[in-house]
Amino acid sequence: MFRLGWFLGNGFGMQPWYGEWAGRSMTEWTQPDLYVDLTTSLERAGFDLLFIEDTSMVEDTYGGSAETTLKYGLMAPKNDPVPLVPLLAAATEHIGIAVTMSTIQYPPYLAARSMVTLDHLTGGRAGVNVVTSVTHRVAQNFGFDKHLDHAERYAMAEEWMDVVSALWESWDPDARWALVRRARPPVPSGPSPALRSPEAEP
Amino acid sequence: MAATPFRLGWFGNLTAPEWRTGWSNDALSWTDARYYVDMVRDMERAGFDFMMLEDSLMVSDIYAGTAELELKHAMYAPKLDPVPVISMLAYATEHIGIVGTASTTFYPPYLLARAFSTLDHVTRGRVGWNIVTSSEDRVAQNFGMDELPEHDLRYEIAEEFVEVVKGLWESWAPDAIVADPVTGYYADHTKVAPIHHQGTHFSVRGPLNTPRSPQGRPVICQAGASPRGRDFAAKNADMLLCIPHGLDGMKEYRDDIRLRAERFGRDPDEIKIFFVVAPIIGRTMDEALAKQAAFRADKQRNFEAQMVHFAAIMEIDFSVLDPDQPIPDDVTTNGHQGTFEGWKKVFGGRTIKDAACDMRVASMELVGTPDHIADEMDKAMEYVGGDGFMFLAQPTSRQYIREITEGLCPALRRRGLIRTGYAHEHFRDNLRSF
Repeated sequence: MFRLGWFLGNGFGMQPWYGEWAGRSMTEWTQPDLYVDLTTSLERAGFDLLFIEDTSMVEDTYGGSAETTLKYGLMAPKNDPVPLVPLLAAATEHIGIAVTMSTIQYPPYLAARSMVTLDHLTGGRAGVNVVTSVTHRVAQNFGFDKHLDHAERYAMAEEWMDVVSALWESWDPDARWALVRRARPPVPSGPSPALRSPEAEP
Repeated sequence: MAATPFRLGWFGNLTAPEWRTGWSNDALSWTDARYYVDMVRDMERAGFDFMMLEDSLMVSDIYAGTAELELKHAMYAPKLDPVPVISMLAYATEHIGIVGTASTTFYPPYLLARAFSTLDHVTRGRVGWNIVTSSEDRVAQNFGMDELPEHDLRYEIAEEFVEVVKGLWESWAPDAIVADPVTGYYADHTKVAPIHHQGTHFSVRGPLNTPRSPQGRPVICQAGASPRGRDFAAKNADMLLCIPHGLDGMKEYRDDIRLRAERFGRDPDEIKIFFVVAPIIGRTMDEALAKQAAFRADKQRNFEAQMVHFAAIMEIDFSVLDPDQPIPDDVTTNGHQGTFEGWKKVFGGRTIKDAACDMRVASMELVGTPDHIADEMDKAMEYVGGDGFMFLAQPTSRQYIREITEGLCPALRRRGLIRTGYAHEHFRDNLRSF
């Protein structure tokens, strides 16, 4: 016996919008309904999970322009998947729902809180796909001049994951208060919360 | 005399609802948010303009240096993240506006712009963003800072933050999506532009990857009380929530905000001001007065809880002050400055304990039958000029919500004081519809 999952490859984004089977995707993809239908179908079919991809950029590497990206709706436009999750959960009873979060986009406290909330709202059916983001264009939307190199991204992600995990453990199962070690997120500190250049040290 | 209609909102928290009185079965189950789904449906049926969700990002342990009492009384924590809850509330309703709080000091602006743009899509144009700058060092310490930036710097950061998110929301032109199967173009890249923001506090390239939302940008809500906060609100907000003291305080506040808005070149009618109230409602005046007496007695017994609340948001450890003396003059806060000055004024020379036990977080006292309170609200709005009230109960209960929605609201509607329906699809249009 094995398990089945569905990779929602373009996240809470545009699905095929023309052709015979496009339905109302062209105008209605920003609404949750299509994804609610998908999730109820997957649950009926016995899937373990729905896995929602995410990115935060309009890519313009190809030909030095966003024309192709936006012409076909490739990776953009796209909505934030977090608000979608409780709606998918409300329409189903069993299937797991995993959402993507990037370690360079989310301060760890916000991510930890958001995921705990989703786990409450879904009755314990939420999952998180932790990514480090791959392009300069994403990094530039979050205060960096260019993206961190691969090794540094993963070092940051390791610490991010440690912090998030510690926050999740900071309430005992029986809700007695436990002190967490003072957790510093892997972002440069200073008078502003903006993520500044990657060279600055936390 | 013809009544001038006004608006209603609810100052909500995603915290534990009433769990001590026995009239509640939500003490543990509230975290699935169905309690709030029921609450927002009650409000839409009753004709509310919006439900607001306050937010904070900490477990406070200022009072006596421990989180014991904060958690004993379940005050600011535990609490859910409002962002995913907003879409649940929206899916359960059709017309009411839903306002979520998010801090400009701790959210990356791109993340916030994208989340609220998505929520505007998911709510079909019914979302609002309540802008806060946060007021506690304990929050700062969850986000890599030793302490909070000082008050005016927070507002400077907030100004730049708002400029960035507004830029991102504008980065898709209204006609950017063509969705033309013949040419094969979904979106026109010449109408989606980076913002290239390089400022003092933020560097954000853009464009947003979420398309322009139904309202263009969410309804902007704010609660500025200090002079700096008032200017910020008058410049940026579609709606304000505030707790000035008494009818004259309410009128002064509203007139002042409207004047400031004009100085920023805005039509003051674009800004709707909501005064926080917490009515105590009975079937008879005697019943209401008895409830009020019980409420005060409870405050006396739970004096400590009131002090924990003060300590959490002012970050002053009230446990070291003598409760039988007035607040010493040299006590100041970097937190809610407007609120703190207001308290000092209300406290006067009274002892901390005396004053705190009598205090309610409300602009005016409303105690009585639904009809009596409706008349009082009518008179207040006539004197102040507008624009509405928002209810605050901490903690909320199903019973109290129903007293408002099924008791007070019908009395207000019989007088023609609140809306009977929603003329428009979008939250901002409904706010401005009268």
